[in-house]
Amino acid sequence: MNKKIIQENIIKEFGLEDLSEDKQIELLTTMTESVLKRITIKVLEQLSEEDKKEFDRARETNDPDKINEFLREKINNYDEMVKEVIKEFKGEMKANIKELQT
Amino acid sequence: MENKFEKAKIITPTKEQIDTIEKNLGVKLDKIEEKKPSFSEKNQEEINRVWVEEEKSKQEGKPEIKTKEEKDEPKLDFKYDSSSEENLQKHTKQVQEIKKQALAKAAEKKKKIIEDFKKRKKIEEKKPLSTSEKNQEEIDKVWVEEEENKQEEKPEIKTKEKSRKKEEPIIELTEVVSLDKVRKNFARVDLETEKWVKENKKLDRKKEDFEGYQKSKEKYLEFLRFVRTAMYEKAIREVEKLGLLEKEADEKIKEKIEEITKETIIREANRLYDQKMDLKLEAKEESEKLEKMKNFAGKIIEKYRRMPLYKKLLISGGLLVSGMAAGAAGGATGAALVTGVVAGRWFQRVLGGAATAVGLEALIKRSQEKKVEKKTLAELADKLQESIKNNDKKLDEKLLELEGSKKGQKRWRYTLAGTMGALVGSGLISKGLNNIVGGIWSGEGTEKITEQAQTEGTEKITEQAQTEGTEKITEQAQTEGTEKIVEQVEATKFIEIVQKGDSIWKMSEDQLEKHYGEKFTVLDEARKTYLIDAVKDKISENPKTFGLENIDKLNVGQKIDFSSIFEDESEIKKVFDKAGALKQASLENIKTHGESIQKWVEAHPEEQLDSEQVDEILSGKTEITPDVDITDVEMDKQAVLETEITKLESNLVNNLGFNPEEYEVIMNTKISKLFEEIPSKSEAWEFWRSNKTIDLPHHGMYGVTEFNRHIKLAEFIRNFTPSQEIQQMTVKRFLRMVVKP
Repeated sequence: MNKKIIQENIIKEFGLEDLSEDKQIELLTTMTESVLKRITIKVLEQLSEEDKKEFDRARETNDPDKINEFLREKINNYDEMVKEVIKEFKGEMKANIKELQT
Repeated sequence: MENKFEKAKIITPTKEQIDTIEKNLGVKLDKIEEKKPSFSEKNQEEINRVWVEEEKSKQEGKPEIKTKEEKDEPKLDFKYDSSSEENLQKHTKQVQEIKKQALAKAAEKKKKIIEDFKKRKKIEEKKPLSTSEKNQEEIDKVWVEEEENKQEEKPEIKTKEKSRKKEEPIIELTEVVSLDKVRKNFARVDLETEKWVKENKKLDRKKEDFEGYQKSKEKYLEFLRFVRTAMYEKAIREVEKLGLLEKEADEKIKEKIEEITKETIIREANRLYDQKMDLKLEAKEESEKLEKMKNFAGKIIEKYRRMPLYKKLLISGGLLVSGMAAGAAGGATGAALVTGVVAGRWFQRVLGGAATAVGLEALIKRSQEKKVEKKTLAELADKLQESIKNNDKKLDEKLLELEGSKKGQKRWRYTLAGTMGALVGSGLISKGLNNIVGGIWSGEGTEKITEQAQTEGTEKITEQAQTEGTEKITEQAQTEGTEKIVEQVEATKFIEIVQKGDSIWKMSEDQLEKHYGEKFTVLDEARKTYLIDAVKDKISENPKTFGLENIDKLNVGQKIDFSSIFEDESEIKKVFDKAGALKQASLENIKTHGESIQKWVEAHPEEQLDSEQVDEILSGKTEITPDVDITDVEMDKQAVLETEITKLESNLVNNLGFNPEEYEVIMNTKISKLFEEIPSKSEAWEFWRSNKTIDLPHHGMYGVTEFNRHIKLAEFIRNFTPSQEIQQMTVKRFLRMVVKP
């Protein structure tokens, strides 16, 4: 895992700092939604039907610790998976930006 | 019987007259054709309209405006009628009115579709649902929610687009499509291309080598340029409204253009990512499972959206800015979030004074060695969230209290940094943040959500139907039903039902008004009369095809179908052209006749006006005066005409936004040169953005506002589709030609 890519500051990386604060926030939250959606799908893909029911129960507790504990237990390398999604997102975004700038 | 009324409108310039005009102008009049918008121009027009309406709707909180079906909107008449000095304003007004009408029509159609949709839903609700219907219901709901989610923060340009299946072929690029469609097509091609490049890695193939890739990409980029151009223009209009000095306005516009460019690229890159991910997922998962996943992911996104801004930004910061994982805020990543790896003053402001103060990593490292009691750290960690939320100084105060020192800002910052560093190191901050970040997962179980999806579906769709645009509802409604309504609306718009006191003239007028709106109503009475009479003549030529014995014999309640006249747009256009080209003498005649008829109607309120009566009224009246031959115009009259042309030219130039000095430098430029430098609006803006030299004469420094006027000028001239010969004219000569009365 390339830690550098993961920790790249997306604001600077994509040149968002030149935009107004409102635009920065809007774009950042929109991008976050994409990543969250991807993480969620990845999580669901890896859970069996039984696990999903268990996940539901964990979620109903509204206890982030329990939820995270559950995810780490059920998803192989959960933290890594999340990082992988972020890495993939950043990589794709860079490639897309490059395409769109041509 | 000879129709005297007919005589009033048959005068047209003779061949000799036309020759003389052409000789004077040095051009062939038939070369100045009416504007026929090309495919890309139509798209541009449409995109501009949609974008502007969307932006307007966004500001007003209205639902998204959708693109129209072409057949619903009257065709824009681009021909520049140069018969009076108010023509340019009229032309603009005319275009606006036509757009207004189109919107009103769309609203009316939408209302009908919604009503039908509701009725149909009611009927369907009574029936037990089959498994497939239930599935459809579920899919509908997912769509609704996804679209709702999209709409909250992602304005999209859409046209009517039905749900598409997995194996749908790549769309034909020549059809009129939406940005969504073009993006989807490109995403699909791009994925195929990536796969192909990977498979042919050894052959060192490039994406560009894949068939269809370049074409699809170009189309996509072209669409984006259109969208951006519309945004640039809107920004320019907004800046112009501020009434700034030229230099200041130029600067402001430059800034805006930069911002728009950057914003659209990032936003679009994000949408492309989403699209590609969706396509990948579609290819991998079964549809039922996929929908459930999408539904669940939609709920998570919804939850994120409902969070207060500080929480949203913490999650964004955690995921994207610092690069830590959601719900997995370990010590190091927590440090990254809190200690200012996070960029942007706004982010630090959101985090509060404490985070701002600890923005220097070096300070933290230095101060981490300090020993701070574990108990106090725990207390601070607990308060961190609250402090961030309230954006207050409580945490700072607590830290200062802990340090027992208030010896100035520098010392304070060191202390704070040190304490926070220790907090981060201890992992307690991670826990505090974890509660926010990890909280995104909490909530109702997936099963419950699915159940809700099944039961709430119908109502949500109906609610949506009340608030959203026609196009989306059309997507959701069963296509058959919707199309039927559209057909019905289409069919009835040409039908007039005879009311008491109606006449063919009146109904013809109503039809003209209905279909051509201001294009008809702004005309002078003589031209209106000419058009009405032309419609009447069509009916009187063969009244039986309209269900009439003769045009004067109408029965109340009888339906008269005008579709055979109005559906043939080319014919109607010809009549409008003829009306526009009528000479003053002809107009005077028609006016006089019209007044005579009006007088008769006023004097005989009880009597029915029929065609025979019209003939009687007009019989024995003054014969139509022949048109004045232009070659007979005396020299002084010619001078007056020249003065008039100069005045009209000046008005036109002024309306295009030029000041006299700017016009002075561009007026002798050949149109071909203008077109060469400004091949199209969107390309011109791309040239400008990419700092390409634009070789056009300009007044002083070539600012963006003057450049915008050159674009407007080029677009205005392009509307006339000038031939190659006419393109050899100078701007001035051309403008004088088009304004010539």
